[in-house]
Amino acid sequence: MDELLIILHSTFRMTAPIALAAIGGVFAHRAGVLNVALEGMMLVGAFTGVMVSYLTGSILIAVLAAVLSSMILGLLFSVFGITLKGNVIITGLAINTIVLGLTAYILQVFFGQRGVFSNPKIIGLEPLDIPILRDIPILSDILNNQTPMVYVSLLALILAHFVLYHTKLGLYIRTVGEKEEAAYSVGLPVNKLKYISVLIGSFLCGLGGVNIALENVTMFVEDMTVGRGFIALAAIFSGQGTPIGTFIFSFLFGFADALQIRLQSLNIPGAFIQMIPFLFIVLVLTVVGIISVRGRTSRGIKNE
Amino acid sequence: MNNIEVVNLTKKFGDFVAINGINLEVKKGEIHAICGENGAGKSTLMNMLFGLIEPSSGQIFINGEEVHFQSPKEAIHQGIGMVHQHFKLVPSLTVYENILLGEEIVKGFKIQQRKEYEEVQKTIDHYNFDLNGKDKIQDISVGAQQRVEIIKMLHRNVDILILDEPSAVLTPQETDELLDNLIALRNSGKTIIIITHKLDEVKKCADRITVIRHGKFIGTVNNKDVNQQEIAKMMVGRDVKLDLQKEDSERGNVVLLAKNINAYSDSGSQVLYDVSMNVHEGEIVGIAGVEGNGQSFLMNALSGMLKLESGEIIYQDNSINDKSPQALRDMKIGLVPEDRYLHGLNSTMSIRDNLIAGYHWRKQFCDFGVLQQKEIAHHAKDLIERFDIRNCDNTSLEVGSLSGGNAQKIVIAREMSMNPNLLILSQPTRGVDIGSIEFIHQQIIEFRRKKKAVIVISSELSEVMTLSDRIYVMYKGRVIGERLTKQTSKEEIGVLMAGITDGEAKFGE
Repeated sequence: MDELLIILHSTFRMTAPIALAAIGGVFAHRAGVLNVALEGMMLVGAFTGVMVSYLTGSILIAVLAAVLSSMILGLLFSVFGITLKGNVIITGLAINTIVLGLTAYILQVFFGQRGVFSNPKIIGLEPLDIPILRDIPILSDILNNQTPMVYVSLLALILAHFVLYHTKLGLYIRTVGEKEEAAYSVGLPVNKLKYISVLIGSFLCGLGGVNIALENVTMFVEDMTVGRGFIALAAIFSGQGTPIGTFIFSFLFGFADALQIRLQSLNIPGAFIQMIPFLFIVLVLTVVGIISVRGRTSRGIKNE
Repeated sequence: MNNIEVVNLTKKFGDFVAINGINLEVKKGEIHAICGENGAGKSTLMNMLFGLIEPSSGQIFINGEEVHFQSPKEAIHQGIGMVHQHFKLVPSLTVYENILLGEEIVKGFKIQQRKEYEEVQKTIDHYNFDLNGKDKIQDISVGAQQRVEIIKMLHRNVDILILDEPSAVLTPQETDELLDNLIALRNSGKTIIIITHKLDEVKKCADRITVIRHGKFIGTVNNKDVNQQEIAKMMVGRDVKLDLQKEDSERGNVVLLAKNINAYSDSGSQVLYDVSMNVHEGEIVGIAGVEGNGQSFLMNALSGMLKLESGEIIYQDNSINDKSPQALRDMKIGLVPEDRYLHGLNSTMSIRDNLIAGYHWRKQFCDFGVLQQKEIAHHAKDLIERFDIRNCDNTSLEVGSLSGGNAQKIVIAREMSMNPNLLILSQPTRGVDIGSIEFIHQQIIEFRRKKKAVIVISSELSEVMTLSDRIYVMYKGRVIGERLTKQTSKEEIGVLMAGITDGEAKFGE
């Protein structure tokens, strides 16, 4: 029982970065923009957060800077992918590659570090001990003493659901993604809506980066997002683009991650244990795929 | 008083004159039909009225005032609404959300969904339309979707409603319902312009008719002064045979035999029940039925796009149950699918490539994996001439730029040119103009003359009656009756289509 609570506690911790990126990515997804730059946006958030925290000693400024850097990438992505109508996949991959190279480069040239940047001067975000919550049994074991971004990820889920299904903005974003001509025919600002969707995504990706670099650890490691942006994409698709579905799949993937960490204490080769989350994702995606294909009677590509 | 007056309107696209000095007067409170063949410039003319295209010269007056619309929004503001042939609705949203799109009712940030629904339902009920505001677009029929588009305009308080080929996507029943709705709207004081080339509809609902041909104004006539023949003549510029003559067929061997086929749709419901049918050499077999009674699924089953649950389809003594459309084409079966843009053509590919699509890897067109461009271009030129496909001077243009009739001719030309033994056509003339219908029908009959077999699936009863030697009627996924065309009548088939039988045995094998 205790073991389970510990794993669940750490599941929420591991879910937070995936869920933040994924819920953010839901907006672009629903606006019909495939944003594969979630990975790069998170990584830049992690890097900027660490650097600014180290340089200023202020965690608030660090978080703001992380979000800002991620949103600059979002803007860059939008200019090339939406305004200039470039291929969004290539644009996104280019951003990922640039971030990966640039962070390593800056680290080495300006800080003289290779691969890892760790320093006592980096201030991180501490777990919160929440009144009321701490007194509720079980729930307190799972949800209390989490870092701020874990709570932000839950808040993001609720807000995303509200915005998407109960506000004009959400309705317009869904319209743009589903039937662009319908949006044009009633004079909606299609490109502006796509920009907003991408930027909401990069905002949350920035926070996801903060979670990875300033909450779970207080350091920067080259490529420390290790594909979480792509896992977030998988969560979006598996969750069919709804915030709730996306969160559920993020949670599943987070669970696999937590399990992996837990199993590291066992006497099994580390490389194998580290495969668990990814094997798990392949498994989940296979099941999702099989379910959607089963029962189809028409041959060849999907007709409807 | 004239609601709309168009004076000497001209539109040029480069050197091409799409609209050449057209004058048009539409009176307040009338249904005015704009008739012309595909490519005559009807849509261009209407798009100028709606602010989608700017005229090269000429004037447009709305209620006596000259207007220069820059966008559809301005047109709607002036009271002109347009319902396009392809709907601009969001499938996953409800009817009321689509109608109010862009004009949501909000309180703070939150959309007032209940209030929106009530407002829209009020409008729907006011015009007495058969719609439920809470239904999702993806769950309602095409006819209902069109009603949503009309209400969308009416809710924005337009007085003049332009409908572009409104019946092209509708079943006969839905079309009748639409015409009734339009007449009711006219009686309530709205002005309606309907672009169409379906003459029976024009006769049923229009007050006056303006005919244009090759971008030129031919004339405006009162509906009650003319008959269908005369309108057709104005449109095409020559006498058109609305009835086809064909000699008796000489039936040969059975070419295709379907035995007790059962099939399910993707959503898991049974769509074909024990369907049996056959077609012989030198015979045209028609499949009649109200749309949605399994004909589309039968077409998919016959053309290898739907898996069978049980039963067998035998073509020239071989079972073709598990054959793909490609394999069927190799076995000399020509396939003309129901939706030309979904399964018949690749609208972003060139005209000449579409003319070989599905046959593109044949030695003649493709040698060691390399497309033989010269041969393909030559083939295209040949077919365009033989099948009288218009506006195709440049065969490297996208097929999507052609009108519906010409696009359909491309599919039919492609399938016929490969000289199949059996031709299966689904809705061969949907959304196609009179001149092309006449041509396509003649081609089908010419094909039968060569002792080939043809299956025609069509929801246009008159088309099935004109073409077929023998007719199967489908109702709720079953073949409910079989008749020889010569021994039956439109009325009898119509009764069968409604699902009424007196339980008699079917006409023999």
